[in-house]
Amino acid sequence: MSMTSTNSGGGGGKKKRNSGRKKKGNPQAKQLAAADKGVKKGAPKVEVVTVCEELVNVITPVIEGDELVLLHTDFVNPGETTLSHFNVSVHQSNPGHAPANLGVEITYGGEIACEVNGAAFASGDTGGAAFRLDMRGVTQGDCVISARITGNADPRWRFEDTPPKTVLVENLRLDAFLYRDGRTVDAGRVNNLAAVDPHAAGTPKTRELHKRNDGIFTFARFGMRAPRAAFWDKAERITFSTNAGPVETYSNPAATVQVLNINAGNFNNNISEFRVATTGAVGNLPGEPGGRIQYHNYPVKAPEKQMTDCYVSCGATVRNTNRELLLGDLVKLQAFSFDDYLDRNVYNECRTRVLADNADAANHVAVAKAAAHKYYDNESGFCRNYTHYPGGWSAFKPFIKAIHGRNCIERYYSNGQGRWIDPVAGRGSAAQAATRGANFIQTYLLDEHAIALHNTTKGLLRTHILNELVTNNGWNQGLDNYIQAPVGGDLWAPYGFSLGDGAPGTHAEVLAVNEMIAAGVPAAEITVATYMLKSLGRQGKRFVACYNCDGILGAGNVRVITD
Amino acid sequence: MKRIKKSALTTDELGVLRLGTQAYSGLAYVVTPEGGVGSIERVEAGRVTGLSEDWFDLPEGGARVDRAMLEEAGDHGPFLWRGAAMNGIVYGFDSEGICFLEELYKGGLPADEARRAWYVSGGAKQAFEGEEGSSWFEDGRLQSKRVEDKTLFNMVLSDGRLRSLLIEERSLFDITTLRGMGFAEEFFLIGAGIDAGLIAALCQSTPLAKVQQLRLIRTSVGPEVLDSLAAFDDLTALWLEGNPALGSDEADLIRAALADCTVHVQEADDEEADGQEPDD
Repeated sequence: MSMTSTNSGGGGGKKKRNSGRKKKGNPQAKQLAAADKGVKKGAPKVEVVTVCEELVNVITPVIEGDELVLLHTDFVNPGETTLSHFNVSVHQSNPGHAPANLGVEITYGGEIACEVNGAAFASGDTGGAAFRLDMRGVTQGDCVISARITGNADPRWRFEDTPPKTVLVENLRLDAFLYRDGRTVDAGRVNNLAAVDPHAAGTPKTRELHKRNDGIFTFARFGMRAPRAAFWDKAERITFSTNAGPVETYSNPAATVQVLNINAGNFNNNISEFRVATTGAVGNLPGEPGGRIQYHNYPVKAPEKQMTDCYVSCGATVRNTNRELLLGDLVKLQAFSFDDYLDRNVYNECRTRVLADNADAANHVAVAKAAAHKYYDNESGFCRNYTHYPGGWSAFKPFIKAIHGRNCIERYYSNGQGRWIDPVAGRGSAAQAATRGANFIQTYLLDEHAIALHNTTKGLLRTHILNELVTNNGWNQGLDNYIQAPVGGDLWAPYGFSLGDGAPGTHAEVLAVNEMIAAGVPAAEITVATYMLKSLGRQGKRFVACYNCDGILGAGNVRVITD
Repeated sequence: MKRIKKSALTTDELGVLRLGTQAYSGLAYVVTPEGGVGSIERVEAGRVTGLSEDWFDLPEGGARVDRAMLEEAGDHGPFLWRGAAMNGIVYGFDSEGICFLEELYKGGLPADEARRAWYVSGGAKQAFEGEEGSSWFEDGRLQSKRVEDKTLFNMVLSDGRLRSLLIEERSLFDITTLRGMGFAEEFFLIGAGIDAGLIAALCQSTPLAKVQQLRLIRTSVGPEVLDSLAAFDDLTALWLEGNPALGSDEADLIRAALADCTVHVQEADDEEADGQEPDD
């Protein structure tokens, strides 16, 4: 049997051909019809035995299979699409007589492309065996497929057509938003997946995904565009699938309710949304080596983002067959541990600075970077401590003077054998003192270092100062408070603030967080990492936040991962 | 003048002290293996010519110590030497032995009373003692000056570009020192020493008019600054904070004139919140 395909570019060409073959008044056809009549009626009489040996073999093409084909074209991240198929065979009413060059000509529209055994189907001799015709969607629409028998004519057989089949070619579209809740670099695309080019910036086929971490991070948000209504005549449901990575699909933003498939009722305004999150939990940051880090012998940590590629795709379950058609249009997720990345990133920067200029590094004490753990790609620059005036003074004593108030400042210094203060005069209330302190830091950073302290950061700073004055009793301790240093000596801790820690609000981690707050990120959605630059024992290691930074960042529920 | 740990120098067969291949001239700090700084020798053309007294006076009972020999009791001090809180003068040397820091410590922490710092080239970087101090760029230009509790002059650089200019005392500023400097996109002009005339002059001789964001803070400028601001073609945001001669009416004029620029205004408030803040 030979088979022949004719791609008409549509269904119209095939119909013309069929109508020609069935034209009435053909003498041969009339003879054949008369012979068929006897066959169809059965119950042959004895005297017609000889006639039976010469019954006409009616040869009919048979095509059976999927009525749904998934569009597969121009994928950004192409994967395997399950090909729909028809089984093509030949039915013969009297198999004893058939042309030696028996074939089947398949005609189909331009909505699909066909293959046999993985090769584009044009024509060929299959030796009379049945074969499978695989179909790949090219353009969305209805595609008419017809078949007819080909071969030499002979009175002993005749060919008959079978009714054409129609398959639905559907374009299933799965996209991810670039950022959580649709926040993209282009504000005009926010939450409007349906209105934008699916491959545009707001709805990418590739995006990063923070690994799940106790639910505090947001997850990848996906949008499935509704297929045409006719799709649901052919399919029971749309299934989601993941592969090559530890991710799962969920129906809710918190990624707690797993969803594996949806149906027509799950679409709202032609979009069905779901979330994708990694499975399992991210562990703690790896420990640091003991002893002092010698950067010259200590490697750069690369890559900073250790990504695991994961893929999400969808498919359709063909109605009444339970057959799954998987779509090879993959959304690629690059999952990585946000904390680990931030930690490695700051470590590497610390290493670079120490190697570049040890003296400068020593003066800058620490380097920090903050990043928004819910917004992706939203990071501060690398910040360092700004605890001193350009001329070298610490900002600590001026800060304490500001706390103490202008009216008391002359009583600040020691008097003979000790120090004394007037505990009341001119100080005002602790709340006023806290405001003065925060105002001072804001002006200091602006004047001396051209750093604009955002009012929200300033509010956190003021909260910390007030807490130190009231809750921790710094207000009553006043100026003249000394605490015993761990090994000998005294540490001056006026109003509960430590000379060693310096003026609050001037350390690297607070300034990095301030950058993020100024960029519009809520404090509670910021994570910060800090490494020590100064050339002492812990240089190059994670820098535990001082009590000032802890108080300020804690007031805003900022995540500090290097504590 | 160069400053270096003497042990970083080599001595050739003729007894000449060399830094690399060159005969050394400058100060050589004699540091003991325990980290004590015993003396500073004056060296000229590789020969010790005497002792230098170019150092801070020691406080009573204090010591001069190499910073690298200090231990830190915690991440934020105090600093210990031989198990006790550091009292005295601390010297910082980089990995090449170059001295970059001299600072008075009391009770294990910088006393914030005396400090000097130098560039690797030997040029002065910072110096303060008592109530007055300054800092300089490596080429010797003044970067900042502060007397008592007031900063009189300050220039802030970011990524090699000028980001802020604070002028309270006009005599400290020489506009020619800005020649050839790039300006950051966001720029701060701060202090009473800045008036409309100076801004006009800066527009003439610097890239000031190319900045995208400008903050005028506690300056003396009045509405006449509009003449200069009109030339800021790329300006998208302007902050006016605490400028006594720019009240709300003047700010409205500026806002109307700079249609493509967002103008933020905060009027001057001498008292800030001192004595006015309600109790929590």
